[in-house]
Amino acid sequence: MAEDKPTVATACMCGCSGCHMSFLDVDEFVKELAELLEFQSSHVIMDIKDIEEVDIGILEGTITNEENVEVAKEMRDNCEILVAWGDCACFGGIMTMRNFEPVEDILEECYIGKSDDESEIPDPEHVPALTEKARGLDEVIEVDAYIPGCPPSADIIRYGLEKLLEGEIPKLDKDKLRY
Amino acid sequence: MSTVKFTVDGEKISAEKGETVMSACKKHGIDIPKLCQHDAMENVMACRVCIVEVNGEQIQPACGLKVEEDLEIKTETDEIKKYRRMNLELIYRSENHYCMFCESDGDCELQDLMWENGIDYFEHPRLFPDRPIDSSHEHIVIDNNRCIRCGRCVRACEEVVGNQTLAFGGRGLENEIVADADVPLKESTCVSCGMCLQVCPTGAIFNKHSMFKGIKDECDLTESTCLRCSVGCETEIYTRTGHLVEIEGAESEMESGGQLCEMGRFEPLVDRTEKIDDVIYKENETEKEMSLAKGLEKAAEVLDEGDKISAMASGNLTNEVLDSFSEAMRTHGALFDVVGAKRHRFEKEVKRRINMIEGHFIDDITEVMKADHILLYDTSVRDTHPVLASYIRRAAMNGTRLITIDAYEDRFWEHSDISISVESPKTQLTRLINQVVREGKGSIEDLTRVSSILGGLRVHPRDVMQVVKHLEESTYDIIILGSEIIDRWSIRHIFELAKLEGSYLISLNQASNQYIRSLETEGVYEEPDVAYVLAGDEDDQEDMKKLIENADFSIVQASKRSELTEKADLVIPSLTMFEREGTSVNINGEEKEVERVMEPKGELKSEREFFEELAEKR
Ligand code: SF4
Ligand code: SF4
Ligand code: SF4
Ligand code: SF4
Ligand code: FES
Repeated sequence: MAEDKPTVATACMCGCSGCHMSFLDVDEFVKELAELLEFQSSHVIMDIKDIEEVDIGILEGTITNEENVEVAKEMRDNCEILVAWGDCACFGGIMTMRNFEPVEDILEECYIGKSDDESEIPDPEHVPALTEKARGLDEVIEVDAYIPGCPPSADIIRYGLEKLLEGEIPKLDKDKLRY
Repeated sequence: MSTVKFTVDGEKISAEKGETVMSACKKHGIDIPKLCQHDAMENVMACRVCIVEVNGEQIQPACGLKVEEDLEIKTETDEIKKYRRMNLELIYRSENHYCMFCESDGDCELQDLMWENGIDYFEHPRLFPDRPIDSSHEHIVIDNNRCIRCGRCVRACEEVVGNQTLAFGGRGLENEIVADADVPLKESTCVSCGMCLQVCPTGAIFNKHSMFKGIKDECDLTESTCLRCSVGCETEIYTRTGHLVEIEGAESEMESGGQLCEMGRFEPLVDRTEKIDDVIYKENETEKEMSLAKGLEKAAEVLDEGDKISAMASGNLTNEVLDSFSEAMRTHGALFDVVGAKRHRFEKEVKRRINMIEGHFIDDITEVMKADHILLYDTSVRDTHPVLASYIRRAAMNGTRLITIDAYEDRFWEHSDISISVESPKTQLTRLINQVVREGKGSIEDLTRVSSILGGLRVHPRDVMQVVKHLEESTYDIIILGSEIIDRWSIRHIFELAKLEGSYLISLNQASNQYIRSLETEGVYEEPDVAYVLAGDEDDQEDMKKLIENADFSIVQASKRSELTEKADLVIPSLTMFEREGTSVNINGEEKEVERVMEPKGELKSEREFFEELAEKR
């Protein structure tokens, strides 16, 4: 019965989709999962991107712009348990390398310094503005479970999901924890 | 040694008095997590990762805590775990750690502890401080972004290498690893030993030639002996799919602290010289390649035809290779010599003439750290026997008086108490020192007397008198002769001085393998019909070059191309130092295993078999 299955939504903040790709590496376990979970929406693997109320919300990626903040909060509001996938979501990851320079300087360098004459700094009216710093999820919303790794291995992603299905919050350490 | 008993996590443990809780625990198989502690260095208690609960009340770092009778130690209480996590997080988040592209990913003590302690999120935001990277050095990168301020590198450079190049610079959060007065490492006093990168627990100091070639767990490890000088450091050689990845010093070697030098650690990784795989025979300006068997026949033929045959081997080969080569050469009627053996023969002759007993020669070079005076003739030791040089520096830093005598620049100038520069041969100076010693205290005070003995020698009489005075005062003095001294008279006078003063001696020669001391060698024909040179992996040796230049026909057996092989008429491949296996004798006279690190790639599989066959072709 579909209604009894826990529902899941996944989304990507500023990330490379590597965590989602790694998730797809669970191979035939996807089939099993489809029996056990109901995927409501997912940015990589489904057409439905809108976040509705779900039991488990999974986020990949760093918070680097206003849209990320919004989506992260939306996910938090709509899910029971929020899971951070990957170093970016857990600690900020590689995106935080921009934190060494002020946002203005980075935009200037990328859109003026290193581009052609017609290039200009994007208007925040059209493109979400960058936040002051790139941050991990838990600096913006509350996170319940952390699955770090760059990307986390398929085995660890699977382990995390299995724990959730058993009704536990996965907690990684020792051989399971990698980043 | 008195023992004390104490409890760790409910288990009774006995330890030596004065020992730390960490060290006692380690001996009983209890590993307390640590970052700044290192067995070869003083404890500084910088990281606080090793904290333990003491007698149910205090929390203290186990690396600095001395064992006491009835101490109650707990290593894993909830509180300890909480604080350890806090400390680790603080260490990590204060710097710029990006494990996903860090050179040390998978080989990092900090990362290991983060994982072990389940730190899957941070309680506080990361800081992202601005940190410098110094990549000026040929072999070493210092990336302060990954530095956890454990100070191992600083202590290793000072306490193990005796070099004091590295230090903490800046203040507070700006605290960084700097070289000398904050100059690029390349321009600093660094001797390129690489000890700092070996002990760095993180990716803050790393080897340019090994980076991203594979983590240690994925490599094959071979424990062997360095054959680049007679110190014979124990090495740990990491390879992956038959390629060299990294060479480290064995840290079980406590006196050396696990040191290697630039020759042992870096040079093999940088070496890109073309290898010799085939026999090359040169006739009428053309080069002809032939099989190994044909090459062997050709060599036998040439040897048979020759009348005066000179054979010379590198001193960096194994006992087995030296034995079989000399055997083959002698069956072909050759005179046989090894680079470095000449110096040894002089020495033997001098010893016989002046009736010098073996007891004067030290059989453990780490003894220099216990001497109260060191008289060093020829400071090239710094470059020829670098790890011995580190012991000399360490001794000098700990109060041993160092007197250096050299014709050129004093390569220990920062450490020497008296530095005498005198033209080679040093024989005259030594003779004068001897004379002053013999004439006794009276003449020491007599400046004009010493001046007159010194005659034309441009040495300050006061220096000579100081030297004599020090030697007189000392209760344990060691005289070290570098390998560049090759004139008989200098050796004789220095040995005489040792005899006169009851000093101990360390006498160095060019050979890495001191098996030459028990090998039968002799001077070879300088202008032979045939010269057969067996080269090692080291740079060309002058003696070998001269020999083949003066020979009518020259055979060079070598693993890689060099000036020698360019000049030779017949070139035969040999194994590289990493393909060879056998034994070697170090400066202390100990036999050491040389392990095969890589399978021989060429046709030649065993040099011993090759030479046995060559001997039979007589
Ligand atoms: S030094 Fe260690 S903890 Fe730091 S980034 Fe490198 S691997 Fe990670
Ligand atoms: S390479 Fe050796 S001498 Fe140079 S800084 Fe490191 S430890 Fe010191
Ligand atoms: S460079 Fe490495 S060894 Fe030196 S203080 Fe930093 S982390 Fe420690
Ligand atoms: S001191 Fe000698 S034996 Fe030790 S690493 Fe250097 S060359 Fe090799
Ligand atoms: S290991 Fe004890 S304080 Fe660092």
